[in-house]
Amino acid sequence: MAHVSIGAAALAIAVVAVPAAAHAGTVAGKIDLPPGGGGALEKRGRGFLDRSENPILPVRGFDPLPYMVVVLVPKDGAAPAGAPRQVSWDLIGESFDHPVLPVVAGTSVIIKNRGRSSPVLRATQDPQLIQPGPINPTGAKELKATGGPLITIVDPGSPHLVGRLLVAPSPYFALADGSGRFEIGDVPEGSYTVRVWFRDDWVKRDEETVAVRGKAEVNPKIPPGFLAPAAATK
Amino acid sequence: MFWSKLWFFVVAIAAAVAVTLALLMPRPAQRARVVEERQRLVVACDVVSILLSENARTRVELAGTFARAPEMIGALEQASGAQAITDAASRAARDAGGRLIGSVEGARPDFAILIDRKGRVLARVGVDESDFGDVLAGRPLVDDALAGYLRDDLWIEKGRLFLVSAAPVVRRDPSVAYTGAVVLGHALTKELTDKLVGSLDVDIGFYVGSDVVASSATVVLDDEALAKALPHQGDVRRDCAANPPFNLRAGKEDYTAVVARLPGEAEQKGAFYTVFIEKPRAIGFAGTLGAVRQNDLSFGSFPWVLVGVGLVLVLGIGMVLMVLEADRPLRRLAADTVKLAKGEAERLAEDDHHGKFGSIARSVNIAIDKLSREAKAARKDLDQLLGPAPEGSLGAADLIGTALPVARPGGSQPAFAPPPPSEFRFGDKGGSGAKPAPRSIPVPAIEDLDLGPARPAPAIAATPKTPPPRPPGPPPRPPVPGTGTPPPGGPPRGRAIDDDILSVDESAEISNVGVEPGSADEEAYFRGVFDDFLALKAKCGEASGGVTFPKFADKLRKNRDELVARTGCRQVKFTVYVKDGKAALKATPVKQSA
Repeated sequence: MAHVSIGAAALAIAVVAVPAAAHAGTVAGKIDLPPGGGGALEKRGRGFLDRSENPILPVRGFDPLPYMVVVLVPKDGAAPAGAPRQVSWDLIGESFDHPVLPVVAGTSVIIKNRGRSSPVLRATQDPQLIQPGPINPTGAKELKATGGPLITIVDPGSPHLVGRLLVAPSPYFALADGSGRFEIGDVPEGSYTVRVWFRDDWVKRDEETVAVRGKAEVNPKIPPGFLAPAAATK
Repeated sequence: MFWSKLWFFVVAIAAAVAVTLALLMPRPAQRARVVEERQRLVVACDVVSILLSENARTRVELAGTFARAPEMIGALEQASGAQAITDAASRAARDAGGRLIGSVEGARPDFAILIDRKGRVLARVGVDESDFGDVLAGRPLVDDALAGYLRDDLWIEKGRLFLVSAAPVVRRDPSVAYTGAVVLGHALTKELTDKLVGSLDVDIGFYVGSDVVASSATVVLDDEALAKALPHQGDVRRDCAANPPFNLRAGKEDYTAVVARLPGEAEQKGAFYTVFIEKPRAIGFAGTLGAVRQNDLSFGSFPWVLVGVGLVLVLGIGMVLMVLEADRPLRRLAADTVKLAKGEAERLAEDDHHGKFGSIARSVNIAIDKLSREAKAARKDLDQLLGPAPEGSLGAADLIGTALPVARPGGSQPAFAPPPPSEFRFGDKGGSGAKPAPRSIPVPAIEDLDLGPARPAPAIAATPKTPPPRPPGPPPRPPVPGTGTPPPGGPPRGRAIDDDILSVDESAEISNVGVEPGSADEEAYFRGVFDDFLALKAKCGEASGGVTFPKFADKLRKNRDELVARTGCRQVKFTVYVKDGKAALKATPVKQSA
C-alpha cells in the first residue's frame, strides 16, 4: 500500500517518455472500478489466530488503483520507442513508493532505499538484472528495464516486499491517483487503444479506442472479477 | 515312566514359555511406551500450539487496549494529517506509548510501534526509539491493521523472534475514521518457553533456521535432523499432528522430537518450534525387574495364592508320577532281586514289572538262562568225558539243572527239577532226591562231581527220577576245618558259596587246597584227586568204569577254568566225598591262596 506515493500522485501523473509532438494532445479520465472496488483486503499470512475485524468501523477493502497503469497503444501499431531515460524508484521501508512502475524499454531504474532495512532485491524474471547484494539504507541499485512486459522485484527475505516494473508497449501511460483519475499528456494525434495494466497482467476488457486530437477523455471501465487471476498474489 | 517324562516335558515347556514371555514381555511394553511417549509428544505439541494461540489472543486484546487509548488516537490523528512527522511529535507519542507499556500488568510488550494512517512510523517504544518516519505499510500485519483488522504475527528482528500483535486505531470523535495502527511485540524468551511447557513434562525449542531463538532446555539438538523433519507445505496448524515424531541426538543423548512450523512472516524465514523429550530407554528384562516396586509384590497386586497353588499342583503331580512310575516299581524290583539273592526265587517275576523295570527283570532272567545253558554245556562235556551217569543219577545234566530256572515266565517248564546249584554228580540222577531249594545265585559255587560208572548220557529233558537205593558208603569223615568239604549228601540247600567253602565236609579230604592253574603241581594235584576218587568209588563198591586220568584231568581243568571264570576265584579245590553211598566229586572255588 504505497499511500505516500499515491498521495504525491494525487493529481494525474503522466509519465511520458517521448518528445512533445507538434500536435500533441492530452488524454485524461478516471478508471471506472466495478461496484465493490477491489473487494476485501486479501489475506496475506496469518499468525496463530485468524485476523478479526474491529467492532467499531467497517474494515477497508483492497485498493487496486495503485497497482493500475493506463496505457495508450497506437492503433497503427507503430508506437515510438521513446527515449530511454533514468527514473528513480524509492524503497520506502517495507514497500516501494509505486507498487507498479511503468517504464519504457531500456529505461535505467535507480532503486533507492529510503527505509531502515537492507533488502536483497532480485528480479524474478532475470536474476542477473540486479547486481547481487543488499541495498543498505540510503543506498541504491540500478537496473536496466529490458524484456518485459513485467519485471518483478522481490526480496526473498521479506516476501511481502514486491515491486513491479511494467515495460510498457508505448511511451504513453499514466498512473491513477487515489481516486482513479489519470492524465496522459503529449500524446500525438491519432487513434489509440486504451489498455489497463493491473498488477501482473493486462486487464481483460472490451477493446476501447480513443482518438486523440487536443484533449480527449476516456474512462476505462474495469469489469468485475478483474482481480481474480491475480488476487492471490500481490 | 511315560507319564513322568510327559509331565517333565510339559513342565519344561511351560517353564520355557514362561522364560520366553518374561524376556519378551518388556518389548511390547517398550513399544507401547514409545508409542505413548510419541503420542504424548504430539499432544504436547498441540497443547503448545493452543497455548501460543491463547497467548496471541491476549496480545491482540492488549493491542486493542493500546489502540483505544486516547493519547494514541490523538497522536496518530495528528501525525496522519501532517506532511511529515516531526521529532517532537514522535517523542510525544513515544512517551505516551512508554507510559502505556508501563501500565501493563503481566507480560509487558518489549516494543510498541505507532503507525499513522499512511503507514508511516510515528514512534517506536522499546526498540530503535530514535527511528521514525519510515514506512511499515506493506507488511501484512500492518496493512491488515491499517485496514481495520486485529491480528497477530511473528516477526524476526535482529535475530530475535517477536510475537507481534496489531490493532487499528480508530478515531471516534468528531467522526469515526481510521487514524493508524498500533503494533506490539513480545520477544520469545526462555521465560515464555518454560511457561509453555511447565506442566507438560517436555521441552521446547524455538528456531529460526538452524539458530536457537529460545529453548526451555540447554541441550543442543541436531539442527540438520530438525531441518530434515521440517515440513514445507500443508497447513501450518496441522503440523503437530501431521508430522510424525522422530529420533535425533543431542550429544550422547537420544531424543524424540516433533517439529511444527511457526506461522506468519516467521514461517517464510524458516522459523519453527520443536517439542522434545528424552527417548525412552530400552528397559529389557533386567530393567523390568528393576522397575518392580514393593507394592507390585503385595497380595493385592500379585496372585500369590494362584502361583502357590500352581506350584504345589505341579510339584504334587510330578511327585505322584515319580512314586507311581519310578519309586514303587523300583522298590518292587529291589524286593524281587533281594528275594532272588536270598534264594527265595529262581527268577525275577517279569510280569510284575513294567516298562524299563520289566526289561531289567527280563535281562536278568536272560542272564540266568545263559548261565544255565553254559552250565548245561559244561555238564554235557563231563558226561562225554566220564560217561553217562548210572541209572538213577543225573549225570552231567545235574550240573546244568542247577542253573536252569524252575520255570520261566512265558516259557515252558524245565524238563527236570534242578538239583542244588552247588553240586552235580555223575551217576546220581536226581541227586539226593530231595527237592532242591531255590538258589539266589545260579552259578554253582561248589560242584559235586559224581564220577560214577560209565552210563548212557541221560537226556537233558528227561524227568528226574528218584534215585535207586545206593549201597552204603564209607563212614563219613570227620570234618576237617578249612577244607570246605561238604557233608555227605551235599551242601545244605540254600547255602551261599562262602558257606560251602567254609563248611565242614564229612567226606575224606583229598587235598587241602587247590593249586595255581597252570602250575607244576597241577598234574600231581589232579592225579591225587583222581586216585582219591577211584579209591572212594571202590570203597563204595562202584566200578571205576572207563575213567582215565587224562580225561579226568581235562574235565577237572575245564571245570576249574569255568569256575574261575564265573566266580573270579584264583584257585579251585576238588574234594571227593561220599554222597548217598556213592563217590562224588566236589569243586570249591578258593578266593585266596592258601
